[in-house]
Amino acid sequence: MTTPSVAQALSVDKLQMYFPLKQGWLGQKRAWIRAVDGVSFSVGLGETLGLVGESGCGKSSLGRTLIRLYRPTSGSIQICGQEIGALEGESLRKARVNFQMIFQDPYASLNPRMTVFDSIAEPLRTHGMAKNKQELAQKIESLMQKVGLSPRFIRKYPHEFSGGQRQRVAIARALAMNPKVIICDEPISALDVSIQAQILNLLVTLQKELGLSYLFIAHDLAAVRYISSRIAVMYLGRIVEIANKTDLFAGSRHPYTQALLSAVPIADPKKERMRKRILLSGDLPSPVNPPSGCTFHTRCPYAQPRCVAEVPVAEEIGAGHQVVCHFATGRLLPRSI
Amino acid sequence: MTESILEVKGLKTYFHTRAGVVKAVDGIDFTLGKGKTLGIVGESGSGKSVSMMSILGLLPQPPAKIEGGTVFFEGQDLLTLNREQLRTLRGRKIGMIFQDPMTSLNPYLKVSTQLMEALTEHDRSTSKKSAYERALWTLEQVGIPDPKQRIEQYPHQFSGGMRQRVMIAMTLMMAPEIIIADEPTTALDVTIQAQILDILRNLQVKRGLSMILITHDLGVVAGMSDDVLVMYAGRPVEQGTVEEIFYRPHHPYTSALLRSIPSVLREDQELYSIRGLPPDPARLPPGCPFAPRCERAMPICTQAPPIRRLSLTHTSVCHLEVSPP
Repeated sequence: MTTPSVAQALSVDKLQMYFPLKQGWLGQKRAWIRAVDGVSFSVGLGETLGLVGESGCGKSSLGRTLIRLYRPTSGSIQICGQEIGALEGESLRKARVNFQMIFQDPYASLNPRMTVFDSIAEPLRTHGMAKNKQELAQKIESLMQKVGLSPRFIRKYPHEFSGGQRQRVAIARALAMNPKVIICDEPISALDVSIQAQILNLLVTLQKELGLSYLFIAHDLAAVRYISSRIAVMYLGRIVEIANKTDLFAGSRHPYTQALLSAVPIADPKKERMRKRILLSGDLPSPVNPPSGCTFHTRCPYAQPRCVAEVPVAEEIGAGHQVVCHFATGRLLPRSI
Repeated sequence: MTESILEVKGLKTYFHTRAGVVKAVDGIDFTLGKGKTLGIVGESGSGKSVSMMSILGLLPQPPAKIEGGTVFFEGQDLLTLNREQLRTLRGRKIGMIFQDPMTSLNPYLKVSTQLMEALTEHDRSTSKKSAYERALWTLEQVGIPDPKQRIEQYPHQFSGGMRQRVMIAMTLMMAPEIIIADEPTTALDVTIQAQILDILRNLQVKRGLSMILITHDLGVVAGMSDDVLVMYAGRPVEQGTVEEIFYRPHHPYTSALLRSIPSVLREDQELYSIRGLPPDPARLPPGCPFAPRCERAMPICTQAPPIRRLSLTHTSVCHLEVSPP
């Protein structure tokens, strides 16, 4: 949806990530799971782009493709101007210093047999970022302080920490390479309410201090609203709406975004009870056989015959506000298909 | 005041472990009004689930031990009932819905078998045919499309939201009076969560069900509950009507919790965060368990806090004085 330019930390163009699905006798007939199906966006330097969507919409697959855990089916990924979509082997390994990921479950992403010291030292050693032991220890201590962990925990193992502290270790590890871009995949959803705010604030502080760019993947729209400057909404492998957060929350135009926003519970009894909800019928369709035309037409409360027949294209309805809907600027009429 | 259907007083559940005694639930009191929803809020380890499991006799004893308290339902103390009596009660009068429907449904059995079993187990006189019909009708009630086909399928053929509907249908097979829902929508997406909460709300109105809703999501509590109990480290910290808790919180933990969640309604510039970590339940600090993280802690907070009464319905367990209205 945006053209890559020099000032972007991350820019993605027409990215597709299809996973093969074997079917039939001896797996001859192949089908594809279209996890990411033609996604384009960019993240500016020092900016946070929030990416929201429900489970199965492909947001985690997108995150994993961006840090090249998978090789994309087609399309381009540029990080700080470098094309990484097709890199392999040593050149990919070298490029990785620029981008890191923070995962949802720090239990699973940290090696239970490695102390904090070893976990943070691993990437530093792999990339030869410390000349000697002394420098290594120094770097690790300063990283721990940056993420609010006391250096006296340096010899502790992941199981000795709470979820929030473990996520801090994972953040320190991600920061070890001085990356430019960090993909945060649901970094707070496994944490307790009182700890979520701590981690969100830590991410904001680190961004200001180090000029980091984040792609913040989450299903929690409130957290995304707090941390992001722009927000992209994903449905069934595609981005359906992207805008700066004020426009998205005040004037979303895609029916899916509207339904999503109306479904988020608000911690205010009077407002919560007065709200009008747009209840979507049914579940997310299968990404193996996505519906024709606009993939949202099966659940859209405003679907028209045109939505079944024709694939909508992105329409710019305001500065940086793009909507992929046939009726982005037109009138929404009650469902008639 | 409304008639109460369930009254819990001084419930204490301790776990005797090698590392020491874990006071998972340490003296909670609450009353569930007939046809009302009580929301129980707290972080993980605050004792929300353990207190419900204690009420229903679902905790393995040992290691758990119910050290005290009473739970009155229809004139009898549930804590004095034997296994068999509790089992009957659980199916017929009190239904439960858990967070993860996949682990509460049997993957080997068809939905029809499981739904019918919920009825025939407790009421042997029911014929197979009428049990099947009731199962079909119940699936329809919880909004499952094509119930005639779906009833012949296995749990893995259902999506998360549909599975949770099956769970709700199962608890409804016996027409219970109370439903205890333990994080019923936590594993679901927001649009599916909205559907499930809608179903629960409608059922409550239609059947006059009383409900205990355990959740950590303050938004869900705000929309669903009449009364709210806030728990911290196994103890009640504040209790009141939903308006009292959200608009006039007294306990510093309640207000800190409310301030630390971002909102979709506002563009927050800064987010308040509670410092520190929830305490280790085996090594609770003396006095108020929240004191080490509390911004308004005073020297006296190392002593057990008193129960402050703010209104007929509103109580807070804190040393802070109640300011006159």
